Amino acid sequence: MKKGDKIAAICILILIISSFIGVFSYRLYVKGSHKIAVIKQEGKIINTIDLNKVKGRKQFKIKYKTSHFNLVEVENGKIRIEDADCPDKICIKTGWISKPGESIICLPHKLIINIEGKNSKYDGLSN
Amino acid sequence: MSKIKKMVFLSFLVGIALVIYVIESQIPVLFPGIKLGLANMISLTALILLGWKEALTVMLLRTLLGSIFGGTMSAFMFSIAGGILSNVVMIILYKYFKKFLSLSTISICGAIFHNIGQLLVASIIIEDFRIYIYLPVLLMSAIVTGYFIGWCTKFLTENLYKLPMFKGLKY
Repeated sequence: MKKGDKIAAICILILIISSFIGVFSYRLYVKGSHKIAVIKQEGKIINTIDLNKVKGRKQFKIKYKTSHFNLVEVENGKIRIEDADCPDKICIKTGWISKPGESIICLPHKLIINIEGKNSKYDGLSN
Repeated sequence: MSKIKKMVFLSFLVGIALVIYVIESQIPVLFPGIKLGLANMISLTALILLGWKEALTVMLLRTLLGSIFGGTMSAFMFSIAGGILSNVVMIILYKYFKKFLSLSTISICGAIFHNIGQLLVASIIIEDFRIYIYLPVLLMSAIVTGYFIGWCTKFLTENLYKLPMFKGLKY
């Protein structure tokens, strides 16, 4: 161990702690019983769904550049990507999300599904 | 060291880095393109044994060829962003601070910036900074892989120093 190692270790520790605090405060800020799922593709919002108002099970397909898709499924209070033709299928493996602050990301299709809570800018349905 | 010897040696390094890269691609990750960055071990070795230009060369070649062999376009962008950022950081730390920092620390910093670079590119692609929620997890893995890489590089360079072509070089 050299002299600078301790300084570096402290800096890294501060970085880790602040990133944890950052994530934690974001989750706190976004908490609440309100659950709006916001679906963004290529930076543009293409859908917002009030998950609390969903009855039964609904599915819809999101197209990406004509030949690619993500199959989104919603039930009351939760949402997931059921199927997709991206190479890694990480979006499918993420499974259901139901809490504000949680998200599903499909990077090859530039898709991100976020759940917003009580401080959401969006409300209700839009398409 | 003659130019030809250097070129051959660099080619060896790039080849080894490619093999590491391809094997590493089999390990499942948080989202496509994010890699553990184990091949950075080779860039670090090149940095110590040859110099910063060679280290960058190895990294660029490895990223380019690696993406042609086994990755997607987005994987390429992540690797380049993470690779350049982490290499530059390691070069600066090594050049100016090598008396104060052990190899593992330099490599850990490189790994951290590798991940920060990857997240930066990802956040630009989906135009949403919330991907940084993954940062704490990535930082933890960066520390572990960084330390592991530093350790491996230490062994690698210590043994390579014994080769006649590297006589006289010291950390």
